Amino acid sequence: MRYVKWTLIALIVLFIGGFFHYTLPQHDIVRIVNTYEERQDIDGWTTLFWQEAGNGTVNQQSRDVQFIQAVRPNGKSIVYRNEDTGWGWPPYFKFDTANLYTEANDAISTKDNPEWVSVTHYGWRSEILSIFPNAIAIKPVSGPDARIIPWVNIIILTLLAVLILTLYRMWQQFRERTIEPLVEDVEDVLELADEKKDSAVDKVKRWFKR
Amino acid sequence: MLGFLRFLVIGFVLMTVLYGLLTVYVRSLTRERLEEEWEKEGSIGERDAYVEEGIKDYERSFRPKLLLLVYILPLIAFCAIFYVTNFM
Repeated sequence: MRYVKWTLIALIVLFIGGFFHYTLPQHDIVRIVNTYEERQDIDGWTTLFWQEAGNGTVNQQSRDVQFIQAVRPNGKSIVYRNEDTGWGWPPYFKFDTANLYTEANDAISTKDNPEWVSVTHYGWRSEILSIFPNAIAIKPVSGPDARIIPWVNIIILTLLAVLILTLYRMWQQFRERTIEPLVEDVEDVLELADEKKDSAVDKVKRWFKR
Repeated sequence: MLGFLRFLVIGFVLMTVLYGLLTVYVRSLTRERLEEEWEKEGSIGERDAYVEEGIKDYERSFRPKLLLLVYILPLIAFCAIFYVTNFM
């Protein structure tokens, strides 16, 4: 039973952590090498890792998607997709896909003369599932070792902690001021009923003793 | 356009839920504070009357109106995110 409980807790923590890791913005320092546009036939459950239809596309399953190819300072490659999030989830309200595509093309550089940029993105790259992180912004940085402080994440996580704490305090207040007095009332009633029952039983007993 | 409406409706509902919860919570805190105040002042007069009077004062004051920030702050945050993502 204990293993079941801990497995369940681990799964929940993993799920919540994964959700935030997927949704919150991250910064990669990369060198952009190319951009391309490719027809995607999106199907099955991995549809959830792509943008929904509605931002200029009617058909969810088959559409052209822009991609940005980049290389990390350690030489590993990373490919981003470039899609509008629109009014949907996650709430980045990204509508400037075409502009970002232009910026990405403008930032293309060669190995000999690298131009390092910080790509803000959310999402995961998975080769097996064929899913790509969505690029949000491209900013030039001084070099491959540039330090980026994730202010947005700090603010969002702090606000979230405050919200959870507030909800917890609300629940405590509600319990203290509303539920507990009610329970006490019920207990009083029960006690009274118990006394009545006892006295009734006594009466009957006395009746039999006679 | 439909997406925008959906976003607006969901956002409004969420903010209204939070606003309602906060309204009840802060009023409950005020009530508790008033009850303690009444005791500290030496339990003079009717307790319920004292508390009700204090609640009325609270509702007339500026403080419950501060809770409207629940609507205003997300709106500002939305504008900021929208601007930063698309125009910066």
